[in-house]
Amino acid sequence: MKTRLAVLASALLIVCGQLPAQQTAPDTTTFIVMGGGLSAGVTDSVLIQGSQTYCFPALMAQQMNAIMPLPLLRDGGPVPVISLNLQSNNIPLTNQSTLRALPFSLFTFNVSVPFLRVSESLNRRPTKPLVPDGDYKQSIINLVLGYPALTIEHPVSWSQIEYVELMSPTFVIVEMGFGDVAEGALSGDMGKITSTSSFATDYGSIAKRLKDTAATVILLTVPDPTDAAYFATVDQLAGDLGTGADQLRQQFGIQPGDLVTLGGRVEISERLQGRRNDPLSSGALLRASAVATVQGAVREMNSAITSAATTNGFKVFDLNAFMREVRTQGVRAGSIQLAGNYLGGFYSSDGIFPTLTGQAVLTNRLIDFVNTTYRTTYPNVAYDSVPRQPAPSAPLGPGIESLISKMPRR
Amino acid sequence: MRLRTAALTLTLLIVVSNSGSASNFSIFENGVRAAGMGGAFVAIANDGSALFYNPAGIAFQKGTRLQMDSLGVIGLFRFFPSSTPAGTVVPDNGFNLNVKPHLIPVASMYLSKSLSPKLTVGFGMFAPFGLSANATSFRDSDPRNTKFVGRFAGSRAALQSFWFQPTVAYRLSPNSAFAVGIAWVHTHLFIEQSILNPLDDGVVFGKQIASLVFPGTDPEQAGKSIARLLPEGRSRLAGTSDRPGFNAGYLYKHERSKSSIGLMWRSSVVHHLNGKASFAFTTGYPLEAFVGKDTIPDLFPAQSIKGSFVTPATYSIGIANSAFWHSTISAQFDIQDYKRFKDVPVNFSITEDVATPAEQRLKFSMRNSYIARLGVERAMGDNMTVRAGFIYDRSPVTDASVGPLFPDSSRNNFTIGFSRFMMGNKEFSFFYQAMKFLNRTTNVSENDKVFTNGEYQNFAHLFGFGLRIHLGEFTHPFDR
Repeated sequence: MKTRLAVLASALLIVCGQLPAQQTAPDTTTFIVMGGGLSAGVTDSVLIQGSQTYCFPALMAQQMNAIMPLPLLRDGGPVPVISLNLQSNNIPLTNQSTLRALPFSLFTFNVSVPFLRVSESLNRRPTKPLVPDGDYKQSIINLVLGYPALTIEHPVSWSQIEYVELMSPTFVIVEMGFGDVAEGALSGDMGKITSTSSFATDYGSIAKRLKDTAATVILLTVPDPTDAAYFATVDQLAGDLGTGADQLRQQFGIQPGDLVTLGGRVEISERLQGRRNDPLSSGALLRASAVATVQGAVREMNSAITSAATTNGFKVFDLNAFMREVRTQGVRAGSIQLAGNYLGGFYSSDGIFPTLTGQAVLTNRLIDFVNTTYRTTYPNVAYDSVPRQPAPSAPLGPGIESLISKMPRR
Repeated sequence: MRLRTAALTLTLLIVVSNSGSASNFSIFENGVRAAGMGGAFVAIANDGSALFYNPAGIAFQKGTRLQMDSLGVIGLFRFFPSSTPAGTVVPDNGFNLNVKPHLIPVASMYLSKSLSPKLTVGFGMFAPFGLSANATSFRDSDPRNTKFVGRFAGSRAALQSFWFQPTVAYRLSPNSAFAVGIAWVHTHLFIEQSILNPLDDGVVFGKQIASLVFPGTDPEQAGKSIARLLPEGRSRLAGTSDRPGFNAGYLYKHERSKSSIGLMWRSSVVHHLNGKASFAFTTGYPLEAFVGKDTIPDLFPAQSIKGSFVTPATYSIGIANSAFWHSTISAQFDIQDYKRFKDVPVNFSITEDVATPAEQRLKFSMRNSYIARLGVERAMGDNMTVRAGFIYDRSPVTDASVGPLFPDSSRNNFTIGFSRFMMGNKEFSFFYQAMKFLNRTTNVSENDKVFTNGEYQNFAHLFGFGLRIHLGEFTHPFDR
């Protein structure tokens, strides 16, 4: 009787068109990823060839038998360096080169720029000089979106979304929005968080333009920056430092709901060791009210993303939930358990972006999502094929080094 | 003088006809009186259009005859693709393949003069072949998803083949005649299609430059991506040909039974075309800034071309009888060997350091066609004749070649017509033909990349007016 009712119900649903139609497998001819640092492959505060090669776009393309030309950056070279300054505390800046690795493609299919805001995806374009002083984001925009376009006889300058449109994509993954909230969370300045209305408008505009390309699109929700290992609860920090949580609360004035930043972790560690005794800097803690503001902004941004997906018929992968799972339960990479706390295995030393293995775990989750959604059978990445650390770039020949050192960058 | 002026006018009026005529690009409606009775005229051939239907017929026509026939075609062609590239906008009523303007005129003229009781000469101008298809309802600058989806298989085609045929007919006996004609066949051919298909020739191009654009990647896959970064182009090939053609006919009339038998053969013609090729490309494509705006256009220079193609031979056999109901009933069977039309090789003149090859063949898949005709003509008094007919026309185009250039299918045609004598020696005629194409659905895997698979729904209205001027006597009982 129950079986008959179930069959009848299914039949009625089919008649009423309620059962989900089978999704057509995405055409991976031109697989584009537009996003931020996670998609770009930032690891240990740098964006270099060794990490870019194992970012989830590259790994997904590999498993889906698609090409993914990348804007690879060498990890050294006779050129000006730039630094991804995640916060203003006394964490040493990690410099990286601004030299594109050879051979480089005329175009890249991973047009991700760390901390690029949604509005900047629409409006910010490559400009000369190639490496402007003190402007990490513009330098990366130039090196990703503007190279070699800025160096040709008649330069062209395309914003991120314009670039995607011109590539005539067939399959697009969008990992946008982290830059709109993370800069505020990392700096503690809530004024740097994009307003929800602006975000919704700009994101909707991007979604509409992607819809017009007729590509299959998957939108990723925005992860909560406070779920990253960059921020620790006082209990987590106490466990990592081997001290009592109450002691930390009393000694450093940590209130309920406050989070300790990565810089704050260093400061507290120094003070516990007696090497300093001045008050914590303003960037050491993210107060509870700011945490609530950040989390509220993330919720509203994800609501806008879900709405844009519904409007345009896109699928949504809940990256926010994945990162929450990493934080609360950890994830497995084969036989290895990766924890979401600092140096627990999932996050790299910058506390914001994953290790190469962490990227591989995310890759497999995305592949599983694609397989479930589109009834494809793409294989997962084998974790033992992913190195633990980014490999250094191959040395340049002396002649090339000399040549490059003469090229104008600023 | 008036005849010369009329002939000159008609020459200027002989233009392309819509493909909504007989099999594929054949035109059988070159005589209004004949067309009114389903074109079953090979065994009758009792007016100037005999020069087309059965030239032996002029041997039975005394005096001097001048005939001018016109044909108007309104073709309604719609295509509903079964698959399209993602995001393609398909109009609610399908893609329109109609020529614009919709009404396409065709004219023919016939002149005959009996030199003696046995010898008659004639001259005919007619178009046994013509084609005009147009899916170019888009501009090059339009978004790709709004352009005609089958444009890479062809967006426009025009064929005009005019026969200028002097003919000699000889009366073998009082009841039979034989005729031969040698024609100067003047032909124009125009084909337009989009090039650099991102699924086909664009991929070939992309693979060749894959190592430059995406070094270190699989050239097969990179080629497919690069194909989407190329401009879209249009090629236009046009040429003319002047070749001889031949026509022969035999007509036998059995007075007692009031029956007649007719046979006609019109030769195939190998058309050697001389013409031009030109190309145009969209701008603003991603690779343009890197390769230069002239690089790809320079690979496809405008140039002279040579080409060839074959129009089929026609074989007709028919019988007619006037013994019953004061009517003439006629049946006819035609075969056209369209299998000859296999390809159109095009030879480009500029082949060094460019993308135009020494030879490119436009291939087609055709089968021989046959046409079954049935017609009836009845005199309504001394001055009026009415006609009706039916035609089954089996299309020579196989599924593989159905597309924007040949959106053809088999047809059931119904005709009506009438003639009326006025002003003494002048006869005015009219016909209408409803050409109902059988809806045709194609699913050929080789055509997936050019998106010509789908349903073709066609219909055509044909009508015509004719004027026949008798400058001789009416003495034969079959001759009006």
